[in-house]
Amino acid sequence: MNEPEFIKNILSDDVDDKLYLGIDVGSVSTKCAIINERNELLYATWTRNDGSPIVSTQENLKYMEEVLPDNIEKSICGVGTTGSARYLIKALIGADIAKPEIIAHAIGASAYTPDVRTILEIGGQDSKVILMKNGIVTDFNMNSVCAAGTGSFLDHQAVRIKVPIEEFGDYALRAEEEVSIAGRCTVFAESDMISKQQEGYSKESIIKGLCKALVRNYLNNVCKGKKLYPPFVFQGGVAANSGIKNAFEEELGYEVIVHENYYVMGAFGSAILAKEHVNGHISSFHGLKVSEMNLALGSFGCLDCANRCTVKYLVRQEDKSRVTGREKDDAIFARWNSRCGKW
Amino acid sequence: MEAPQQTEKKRIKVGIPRALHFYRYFPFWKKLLEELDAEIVISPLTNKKIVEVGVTHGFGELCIPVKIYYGQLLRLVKDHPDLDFIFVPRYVSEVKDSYFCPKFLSLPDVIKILPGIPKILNFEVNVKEFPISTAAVELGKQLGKGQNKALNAYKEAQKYFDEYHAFLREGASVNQALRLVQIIRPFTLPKKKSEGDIRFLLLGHGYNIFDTFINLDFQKKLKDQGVNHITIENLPESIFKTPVIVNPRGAKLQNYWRHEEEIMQAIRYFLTKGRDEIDGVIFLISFACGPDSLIAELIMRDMKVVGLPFLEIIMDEHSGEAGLLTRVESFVEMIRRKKKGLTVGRRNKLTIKSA
Repeated sequence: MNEPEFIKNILSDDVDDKLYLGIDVGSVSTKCAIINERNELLYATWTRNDGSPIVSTQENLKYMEEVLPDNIEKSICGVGTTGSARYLIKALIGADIAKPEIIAHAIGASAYTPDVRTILEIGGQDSKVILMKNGIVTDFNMNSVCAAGTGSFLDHQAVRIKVPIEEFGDYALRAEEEVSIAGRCTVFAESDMISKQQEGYSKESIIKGLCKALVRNYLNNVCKGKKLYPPFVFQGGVAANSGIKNAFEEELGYEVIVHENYYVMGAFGSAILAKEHVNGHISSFHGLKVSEMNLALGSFGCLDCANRCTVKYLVRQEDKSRVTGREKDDAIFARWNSRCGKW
Repeated sequence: MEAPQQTEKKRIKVGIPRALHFYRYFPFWKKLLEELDAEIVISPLTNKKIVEVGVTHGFGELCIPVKIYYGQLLRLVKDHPDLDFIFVPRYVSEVKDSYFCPKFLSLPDVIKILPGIPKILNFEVNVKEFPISTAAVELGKQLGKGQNKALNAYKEAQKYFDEYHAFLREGASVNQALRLVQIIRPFTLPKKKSEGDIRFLLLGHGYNIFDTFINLDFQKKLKDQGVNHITIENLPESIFKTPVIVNPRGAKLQNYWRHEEEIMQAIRYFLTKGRDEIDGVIFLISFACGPDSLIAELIMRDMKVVGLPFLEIIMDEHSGEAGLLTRVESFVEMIRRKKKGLTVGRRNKLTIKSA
């Protein structure tokens, strides 16, 4: 089992509070957060999910069962999901609510910084900007066709120049000279970086140049045409990178706040949303036992129309060989991915 | 039994691809061609196969709606090898000094490169050069009909088209109305269903909004979230009377593009009198559409002034459902929370424990 890479746990052994769980299943990582009635973050984890949201969610629940107090399951009064796999995970664990990550991030950020006006969020595969006023989202934007400047690209470059991604920020801070890297497109950025390396610039300067280029790209593409007001909050996985944070501060001319729990803000926000939604009612949460269910993914090609969708389904492991996915059967947990919504 | 068959000539069979201007003019075309004794067949709803074929035959510079046109055309020809004609009208200018996209103007010429295309039935609308009735007469000639018959057909078609538009202005959706046209039913509004709490204006070319495949059934996604929407076809005629001056203080430019002008006129209404009739505006654009991207920027600036939320969605053949859904859901949620005044920060000020 994968141990979460980041863990925060200040949950006391005797839980007497009502707790709310938020799960954010994104393209690269799965984040879990547990809050109490007063929106205090008591438990948080960050795990790479290697592209399998179900297994990763199950492992996370299992981990919770192991490390958290015994009565944790009873204390959870509401569960929210967010991220690109929110509906799948909602079906899997019986969550009360599935909300898009933009709203979850906005809620999370404004819980810590109530007067936040601009949220810069850069994750594994996408980047967003969220504008707020008086605690209400007024506008947002996501990167559309291009993933330049997201976590995946930084990961890739870190491997290529053999600098651990965790040290990217420190390298950038040590840079002594300015190097201009083309950040408009990752293909150009990469070839530009290679030529700058061959011209003899230090790794430090190149990394700093890369950070600045990505920030410029983000501000020009994702924030294009929007007026950004302080205070700024920077969150999502890339907020760990102090090089990017500094580049933001240089470009914007304002302080950029990175909260200590920047990496679980989506899950945190979704836990708050769950609390808001449940509002005293009984949660539909299936409980932590979901982690013990042996589930398998199956798929079949639906030939009912010319769209030929590949329908995916979730089924109990022991029934996998018995069912084709097309029939109505208790063993089939969820079905999705058909255009017409028939399955 | 042979005698009647010989006297009653077989009707001419005309194929219409379900793409591009189909979503704008189909009722008019149908009436016009049927009044000229033609039999009409149309291609099916867009599906994955049709898009694939279209993408294979279209070259890179084309937008996805034109590629779908290719796919629909080839599908039509494949399904109906006995077509006498394929109806590919050329819409240059419908109103003075206002034009359609060049990709539309060149359609009847460009599609000739596609394999197995039957004879093309021409219908050129270019009011700068000649009235539409002249185009109708020319169309009649190609179908072997006389001038009077053609003029009468044009009159009937226009009358029917006006009825169709009146029906849309009553509040019918274009997809509903097109279905009624297709199955030859009278225009009657369906019973009003339960109202959502939010109302959007959905902007965009008909082939982007009403082709449920390319936009991943966008209207259903809105409905599923309890959102009502209107399109510019539902708005009163009076809105579209005065031209929009793009920069009143500068060179006083007018819109060159016909459809973009209509969108801007609609927007003008919601900037002023109609401000409180809607809660937000969504603009569906196909990737690489020049005219749309131009006015999207203009609309965005206007929306900021009046504080109407605006969401621009760019679609192409690679559009993923997840990204689209995230945008739409967030947009709806944003507006809903705003209406309810739901905030987190100010209400309950936090004391954060440190780890």
